[in-house]
Amino acid sequence: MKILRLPIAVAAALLLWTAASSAAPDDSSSEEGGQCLLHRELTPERHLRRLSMDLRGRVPAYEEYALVEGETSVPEAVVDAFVADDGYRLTMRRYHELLLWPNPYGVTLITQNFNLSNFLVGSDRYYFIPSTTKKRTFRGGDGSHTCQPVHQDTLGWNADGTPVCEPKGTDATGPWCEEGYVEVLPYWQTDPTAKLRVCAFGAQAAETYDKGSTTLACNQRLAGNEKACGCGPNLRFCLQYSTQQNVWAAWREQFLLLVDDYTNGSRPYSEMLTTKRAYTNGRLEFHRKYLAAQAGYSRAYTQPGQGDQPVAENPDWHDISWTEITREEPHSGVLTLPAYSLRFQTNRGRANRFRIAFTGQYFQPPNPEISGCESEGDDLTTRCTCRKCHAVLEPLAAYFGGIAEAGSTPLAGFAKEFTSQAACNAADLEPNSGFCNRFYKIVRDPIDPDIRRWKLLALEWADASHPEVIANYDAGPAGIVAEAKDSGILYRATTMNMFKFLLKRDMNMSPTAADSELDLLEEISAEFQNHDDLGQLVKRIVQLPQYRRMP
Amino acid sequence: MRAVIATTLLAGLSVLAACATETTSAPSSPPSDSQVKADRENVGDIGDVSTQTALSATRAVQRMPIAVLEASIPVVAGSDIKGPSITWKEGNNEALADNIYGAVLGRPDFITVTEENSAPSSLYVKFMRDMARNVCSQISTSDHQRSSYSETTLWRFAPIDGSVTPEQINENLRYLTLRFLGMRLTTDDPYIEKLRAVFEAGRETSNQGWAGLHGDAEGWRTVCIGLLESPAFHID
Repeated sequence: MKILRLPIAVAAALLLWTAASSAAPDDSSSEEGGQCLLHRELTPERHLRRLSMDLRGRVPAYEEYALVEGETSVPEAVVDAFVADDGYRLTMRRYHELLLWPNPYGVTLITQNFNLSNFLVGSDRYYFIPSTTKKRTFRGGDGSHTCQPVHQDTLGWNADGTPVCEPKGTDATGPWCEEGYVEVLPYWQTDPTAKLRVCAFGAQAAETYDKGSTTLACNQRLAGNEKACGCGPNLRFCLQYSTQQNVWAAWREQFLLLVDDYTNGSRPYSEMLTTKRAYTNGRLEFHRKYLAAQAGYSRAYTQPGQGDQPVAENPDWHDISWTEITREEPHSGVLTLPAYSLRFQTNRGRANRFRIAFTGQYFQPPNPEISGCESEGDDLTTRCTCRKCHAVLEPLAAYFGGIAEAGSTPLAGFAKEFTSQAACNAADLEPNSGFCNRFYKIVRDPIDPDIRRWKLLALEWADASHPEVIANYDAGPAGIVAEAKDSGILYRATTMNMFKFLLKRDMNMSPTAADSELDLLEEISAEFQNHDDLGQLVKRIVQLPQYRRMP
Repeated sequence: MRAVIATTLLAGLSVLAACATETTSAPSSPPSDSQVKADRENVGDIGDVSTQTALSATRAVQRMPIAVLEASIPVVAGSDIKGPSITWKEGNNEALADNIYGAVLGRPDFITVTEENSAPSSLYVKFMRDMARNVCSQISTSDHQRSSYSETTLWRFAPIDGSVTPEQINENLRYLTLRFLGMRLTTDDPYIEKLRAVFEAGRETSNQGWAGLHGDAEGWRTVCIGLLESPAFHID
């Protein structure tokens, strides 16, 4: 749209208008001589506008101003209607996003062995798995070779169904070959004619392979180097960057759907933090069933675990309709959803964000100390200076220890400790130290250092000196929520947060100030603790006199 | 142009200190030395500075969040002649999408930006000028194609065929300030008077061959721009 320039006269007129509309009260009052007095109330129209923007996220429509024509204030029924509006639901989503930052964007779900890259020949694009190890497994040589732009049917197939790989030469490592391509309709494509040309090895549709007498799944991390395994039927075991983004977006919406249920007054607000209810859709189930297990230990660990809902039989990537599911311990409301546990990937980070959001407390950099504490050592709860925060933080972090760090998998099915490296390694599908190093840490016995145990990371300091660690770990996030509820701090902090969200300023907590709002906080938070209804809290705050005043 | 932006910014910021330039019952001049005794007791009658009782601080003043702005533009702008709501466009894209201006104007992504800075910065003011022109041009274009004045957004109570009366102009101005700003004003309100000057200036551009549209329509489009640029629209 071409923006028309305005002549000087029009610009001048606009300037005068703009200055006039900003420098004086929003409605003139000739009887007051145009003076700007402190603490005037908004007119009913401007009050309606403010309420609409704060509660529904938009200004009122022209016809809606009739609701306050002739009135001296906005009727309570209008406030009720605004809180029942769908715009209020979206506003509460925005409030909780500002509070909990639930955006897992950027979490890497792709691994090299289950990724798809491509090369161009003329205008034709050919897809392949870019992992060097995988390419070496498929084609030999130094792992730099891809397929040739020839249909595989031309080269033929082996009796076992694997593609014939045409010898092409010898590189510095050894002989190598190239297979051809096949055409595959990928799972993420809705247009049935939009097939991709995929190197035949990478397009292998095998879902399992045999290792000795054991049959293993091709979409597991261990199958990454298996020659018989490619991307599976319709490439369902492989991810592209764009498909990864779809999973991030779905996790974010999953989080917000649960928020919706606890901000509309139909359920107690505090249950948002403890409920076993959640939502899922075909896309997330597809990821859980086919894609999550292939991530290595250096990636986000999102495999289904004990406490998660059962994996769907035949999930459809294109099914984005949401259904309600029920999870089990250690799940606890939004605090164990992937959008939260992947946004805050350490137990300390999860605990800190909860503490800020639902108790209103922040860790402050302490003054250094050099005496009465341990100057060295790994125990941060006793170390000089560190202990001033970590003596509080470490027990809080233990509440969140039941969810994998840098992941979303519940660890309820993981042993809390092993007595040997071999036993720890053996906990994986195939004995390997990667699993043990990812989830466990060697802890030496304080009395006999030769005695070592491999403990879950969250339980490293679960000992006689730190009895709260194991207790909090077992309680899970629901435990920290219960403490915050019982003490009332959850309700006080939420009242303060909502007050700030609606009044755009902090409550005046100065006990000596003439306009102190301490008593108001106690009054409103006590009411909130009694009814546990966020909508009622919102209505209570927007009906305060200070909400309607203008500067 | 820079002067206009700077002045508009200052005008916007001035709402944050709305009373700063207004007279209260402050003394007209400070007490002279002869009125103050050596022991600092002030014997001069300088009047009571404030006649207000101590009340809790009011709600702070900020510009509306980007999400609210995005939802509010179609409410005041209405729909175009084909049916969809009028929004701020950048080419064929929504201008407030994150990949256009939404993130630039401060919409948080909760990764790198976790809160929205709601100060009316000069960057925001500049983009709102662009928004006002884009949206008001769309409204005007659609209104020209409507068959009934009652269906229009900008000149619902004022014909644009050259027969408009001063009373109709005032009524339409009152309608527009209520629609865009939520201000129900009387005909003799100083704001209506100033807004009428905006209308007249815009109407005059057609006589000067600037816009090529009918004068009255151009006047209303100019009023629309003024309203969408006004701090009263953006301040919540």
